[in-house]
Amino acid sequence: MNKEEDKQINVSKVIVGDKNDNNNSQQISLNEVDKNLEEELLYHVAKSKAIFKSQQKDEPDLTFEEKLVIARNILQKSYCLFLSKFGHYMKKEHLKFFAKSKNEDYEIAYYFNKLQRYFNSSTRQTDVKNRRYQALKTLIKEGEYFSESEMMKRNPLLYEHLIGQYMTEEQKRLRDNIDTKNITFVNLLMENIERDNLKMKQKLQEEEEQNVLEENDTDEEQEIVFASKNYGEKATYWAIIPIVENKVQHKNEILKNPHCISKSQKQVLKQEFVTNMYQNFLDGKDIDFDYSTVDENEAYDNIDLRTQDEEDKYFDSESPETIGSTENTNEIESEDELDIYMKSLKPMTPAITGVEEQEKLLEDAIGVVKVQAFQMKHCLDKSKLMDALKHASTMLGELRTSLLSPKNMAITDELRHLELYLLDEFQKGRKVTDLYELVQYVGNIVPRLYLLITVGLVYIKTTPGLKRDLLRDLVEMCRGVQHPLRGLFLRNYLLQCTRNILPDVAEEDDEDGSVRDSIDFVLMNFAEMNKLWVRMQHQGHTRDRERREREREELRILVGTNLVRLSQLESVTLEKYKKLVLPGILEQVVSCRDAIAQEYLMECIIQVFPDEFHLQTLNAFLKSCAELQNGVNVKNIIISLIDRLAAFSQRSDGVGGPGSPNQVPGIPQDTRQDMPPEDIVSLQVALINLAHKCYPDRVNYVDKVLLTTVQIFQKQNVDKLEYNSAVSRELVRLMKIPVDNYKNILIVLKLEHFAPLLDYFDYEGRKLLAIYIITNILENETLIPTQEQVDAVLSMVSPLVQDQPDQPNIEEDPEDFAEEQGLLGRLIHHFKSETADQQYMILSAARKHFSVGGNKRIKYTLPPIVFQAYQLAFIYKGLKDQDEMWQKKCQKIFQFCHATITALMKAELAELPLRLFLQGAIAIGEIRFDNFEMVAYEFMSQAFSIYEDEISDSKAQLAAITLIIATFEQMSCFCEENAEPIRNQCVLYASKLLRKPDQCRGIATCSHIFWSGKSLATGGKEMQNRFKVLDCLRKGIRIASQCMDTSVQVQLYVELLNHYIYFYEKGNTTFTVDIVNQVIAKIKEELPNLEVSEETEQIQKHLANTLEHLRNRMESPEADGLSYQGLIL
Amino acid sequence: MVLDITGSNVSFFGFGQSADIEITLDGAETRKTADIKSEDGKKERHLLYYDGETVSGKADEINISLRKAGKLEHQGVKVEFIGQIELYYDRGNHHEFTSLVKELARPGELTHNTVYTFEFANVEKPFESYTGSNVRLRYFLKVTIVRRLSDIVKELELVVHTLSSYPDMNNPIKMEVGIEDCLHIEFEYNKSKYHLKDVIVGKIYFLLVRIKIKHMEIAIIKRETTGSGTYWLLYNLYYSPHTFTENETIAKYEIMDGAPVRGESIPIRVFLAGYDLAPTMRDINKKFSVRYYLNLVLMDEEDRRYFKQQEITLWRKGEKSRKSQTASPHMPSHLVSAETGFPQGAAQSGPPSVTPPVQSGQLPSANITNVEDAQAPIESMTREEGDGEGAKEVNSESN
Repeated sequence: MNKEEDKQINVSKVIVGDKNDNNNSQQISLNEVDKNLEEELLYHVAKSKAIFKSQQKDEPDLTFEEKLVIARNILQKSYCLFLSKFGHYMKKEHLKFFAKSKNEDYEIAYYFNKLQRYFNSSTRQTDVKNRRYQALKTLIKEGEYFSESEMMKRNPLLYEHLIGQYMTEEQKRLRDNIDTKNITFVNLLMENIERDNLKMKQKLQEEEEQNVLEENDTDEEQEIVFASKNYGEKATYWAIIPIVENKVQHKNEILKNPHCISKSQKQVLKQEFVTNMYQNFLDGKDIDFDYSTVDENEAYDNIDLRTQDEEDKYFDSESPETIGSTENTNEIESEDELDIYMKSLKPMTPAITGVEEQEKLLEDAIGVVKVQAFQMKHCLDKSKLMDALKHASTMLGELRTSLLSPKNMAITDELRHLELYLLDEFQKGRKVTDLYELVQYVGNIVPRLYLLITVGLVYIKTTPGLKRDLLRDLVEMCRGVQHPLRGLFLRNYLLQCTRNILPDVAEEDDEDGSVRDSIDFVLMNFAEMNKLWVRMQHQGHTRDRERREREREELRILVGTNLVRLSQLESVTLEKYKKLVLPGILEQVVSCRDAIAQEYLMECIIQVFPDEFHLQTLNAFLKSCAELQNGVNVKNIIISLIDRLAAFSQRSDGVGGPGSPNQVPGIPQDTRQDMPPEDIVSLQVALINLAHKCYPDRVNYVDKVLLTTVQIFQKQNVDKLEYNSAVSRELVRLMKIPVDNYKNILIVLKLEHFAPLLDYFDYEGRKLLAIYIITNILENETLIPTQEQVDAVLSMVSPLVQDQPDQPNIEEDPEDFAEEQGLLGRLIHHFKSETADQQYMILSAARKHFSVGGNKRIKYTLPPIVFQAYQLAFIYKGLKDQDEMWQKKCQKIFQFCHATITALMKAELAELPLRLFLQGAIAIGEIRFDNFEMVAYEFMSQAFSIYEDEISDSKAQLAAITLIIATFEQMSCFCEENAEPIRNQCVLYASKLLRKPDQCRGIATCSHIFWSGKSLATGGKEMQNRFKVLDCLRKGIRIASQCMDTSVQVQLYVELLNHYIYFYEKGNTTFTVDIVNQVIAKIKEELPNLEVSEETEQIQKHLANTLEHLRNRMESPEADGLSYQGLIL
Repeated sequence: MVLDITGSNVSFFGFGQSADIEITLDGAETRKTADIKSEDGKKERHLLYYDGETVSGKADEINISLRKAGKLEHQGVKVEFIGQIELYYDRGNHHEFTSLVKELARPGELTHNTVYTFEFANVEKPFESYTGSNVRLRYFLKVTIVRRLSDIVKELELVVHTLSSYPDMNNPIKMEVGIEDCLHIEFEYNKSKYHLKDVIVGKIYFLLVRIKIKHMEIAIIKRETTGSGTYWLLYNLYYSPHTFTENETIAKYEIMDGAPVRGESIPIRVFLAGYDLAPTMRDINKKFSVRYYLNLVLMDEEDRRYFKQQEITLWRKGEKSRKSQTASPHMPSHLVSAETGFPQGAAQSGPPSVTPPVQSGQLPSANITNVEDAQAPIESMTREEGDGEGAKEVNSESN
């Protein structure tokens, strides 16, 4: 006996051996309260009926002290053992004692939870009921306990009532017949004794019933009901028989004629009896039955059901802490792991539906995941692989809801843990094949596939030879998940897992699989994911469309990852890309017929694969572009492609560039025809950029793009592009590119199709571009050196140069107009050739253009030409040593100028031609070619005639005559013969001015002609005709004196005084101090009479300044100068 | 291996003489064992025999009362090899289809422990041991010491597995079914006959989907029919008191989650080894049959179920242990592509389509049962009727 006890202890030692340390440390940390609790606990247990050790029959019972010692020993050894042994004999309060350590040790936690259930009376009752029910089922199956005869023995009265009385004699005999097979004397005897008992029992019951009946004194119908209530508390059991109403009638019949009921009725009554018996059993009324064997027996626990219940409860409750441990299945020991596993697998549960609050669900789900993950890890640590898998699958079950997006969950991390463990495990030599099969028994597909992938990964890692098949298998099996969201995440997980193991070697014969397999794998996964992704669009209500699209946006990265993975395969050569990868992707992209997907994926292709590949596969790519859906923004796709190519070619310093340059302009043709023209044009923009960037020196590529653009327009029968329409805007962008990029209009001019393209714009558009071009020229100071170029430029900017047939009739803003024309004027200065002759040609060509510009324009455009011409003449003069013909040419130039100015004259512009003539005259005077005097004279006379004919305003006249006088004063190219009339004319015109002050001033100005005027006769020296000067001034004084307005008079006097002084100082001997004095005196005389006004003030100031000057002169006379002696100030 | 079932036969009054019998079979240590469910659902492990194998051994008697009374009188000792079918609802009658008797001893007295050897050479064991819900087929050895009042009996259960060879014809099951304008699918299982450790590989191809499918599952259904009838009466449970049909869903296996669109093909792969299956038994001794069906069930979002049942034949392959089997490089059976007749391309070739299907031509077959009412239980379909012309037409096309 002692041996036995020792053994037991040993066993427990073995079991808990490694936990001792742990528990000891727990013990030490116990405080006083715990100690008390512990003592109480031990006493309580020792007093109870618990079995402390196995004893032989004859041994004396253990004393209280002995029990206490045993209990204490066990408690100190291991909580676990203690709980399992004495748990049921403890009080509920004692459980607290273990609460602390429950978190530290898994097993303790298990027992703790179990006992909590036990002590929780409500759950206890449920448990008991469940167990009894289970027992009932077993007993029914076994047949003994609930066989008819056994039941009859237990409740003979009821039996008699419901069944017995209707039996025929024969049936009774059959029933009562003792199994004659095994007939022995003993059996017979026993049987008979029992039957006697039975009869007695029945009698007893009958009596009992009789008593009750007497009390109640009811009719028969009630009696039956009563009887049934007596034995089966739940009357509902009656109701299960569909013929209740009939029953009442039957009963009467039955009682009258007990042996005449039908077979079916008998069946019904028998049913009642059996049901009653069952109910009695469940209610614990079978006195003979030892219920404790059932109630305490955990084997009767319906594990699946309870797990389910517990889970349900968990989902219902707010706090996830209340979950009980579901570790019930661990203890079953069986050699066949598969069986246990199969048993423990949760039966396939229906998908979670219903729209509850997302957040709560999420919280719950995360809770479950955490719990399950914890348990999984726990099992892994304990090397319980099967259990770990089970928990993993439960955990993954959380992924099945459609309301949560799996991205929120850390499940995949947990799986990583599992994977690492498995990997470790299988490198030690376990069989993966089994496991691979094993995980496929999981009933629900989502968890199954997650596990399959996880295990598959391990499988691949341990058995590289099967890599190819496994990959294919995995990607194929994933088809089972057709729910878009779940499918996407599943496949994403697959992709993630296989990230590092995709075969990436080129050789075909490698048994580990080649890159080709990887491509197939990823492509397939990609196709499926894309399908799922696209499908999201078509599910659900239309009003959610926006939300759906937003969701899709969020998820697109998952799909795109496939392409990234493809691009990361290093063995994908250009060849493979061309033959396998790209066609595969494109086929899928095109066939999915979804705008969002297509746009994103095309973009993806462009971004993830190297440029070299793109260059080689442009055609295929573009062809697919043409097949995309209508809503797709093909433009953006191609533009980004082109941009990428462009950037690439720049990066690679011209090494690259599209292999065959012809492809570049070919692009637009490949693209679809039904694209809106603006998109085509923007494509062209991109193309032109590309062409420019790739081949900066190949102008013809750019030109080709332009050509195709023109062709496209022709094809589409585009006539005019309205200003500010989308197409037009794009085209403007297109046109500006070469201008901007080259920064040289001359190169732009080389583009043959630039100008034709311009013609597609309407007036506004063209004008805009014209301005743009001109500004560009001006900013870059491009000089245009040939006549042809000038021609071209000017026809380009013709909306500015001349009226257009399609010009709208609206009056333009004069300021804007002036500005535009001003630009044109500035442009003319950039028409510069290096050779003079060429320049002349340019000018005449330009004039030809400008002269048709109409009166409005020529005033801005012709003058610069004239000035250019004058300059040219000077150039010729400078070249006179080299060019013998220069004089003639000069003459020609001036003729040209003359004609030009005349054109301006005809436009009824007065002042401008006048000035130009005068300017011309000066130029001629300086250049002095053959026959210059005559030409100059002509110019002057033209000026005069303009003066006469065109200028009528007195002020303008004064200004004009002043100009003429000044010009003439400058010139020295006339002989006296020609000079004389001009001079006289000047004086004449001056004196003929309308207003007296004007006359005065004119005459005074004329005086200078006579003094500083030059002519051939004087040989370039000033003529200094002092008398004439004096005359003029006198005349001036006289005219001034005639003025009525004194203030004007005084002003004139002061001005004249200045003239006097000037000439005096210049040494005009006819002038004396006296004259000056006279004038001064005169002024002084008049001055006080003036009213005080602003003008007066000015005059006074003028005078004061003049006098000051004189005073200075008097005080410091110049050495050779005249003295102002006698001057009276 | 020694099996000792104590208390099988104990004298009631203590005055009789009693003996314990122990049956030891030859080669018990090396012979394989197999589990079989006993009537109460518990698993028991017994020695495993095949058809035609010799059953031999020793019957050992340990007479407890010999210690006191010194001898045991008997009317003879015999050993029987019995194969019987027990119908649970008819407990009184056991139908013995095999019963072999060997006399071990003549009437006389036993004075000491005696060992008898016996041998049933090349016993015919035509059926497989089976425990079902209404019927049980068992083999056992029974040693009886015949006595005047009560015999001393000792039984020893044996398990018999019937082995089949590879079936000659094993065509794939291929069928196109549907509900007009609602759902058309084509499904294919790679075989019609599977051994117990086999893998069902197949695929479902969706030709037309106009309902919102929530998920799809495959259920393995065991249909046990017991009864005295010599022919099959599936629906006459209520009319013929002697025929009982019991359907049991052995496994439910979700094979698709979410709603597919036209052109999707969904792979099926179900490992049978993990489930509690027995070979298909047809009309065993005119007493009962056990058949297996694959039930393909589609559930839509309104929880309506669409299903189609297909019978499959299960057979037991000459078995090595599972371990050794998996160790052999039969790996590809795990994989969809390798062993099955389905070319990889077939799965991919389906035109991927996103647009809602517009189907003009209606396919002839409409075989899926749609239980409109969610509350209504699924009605099982008779295969005989359900197959209809439609399916046959399609079959003739596809084959």
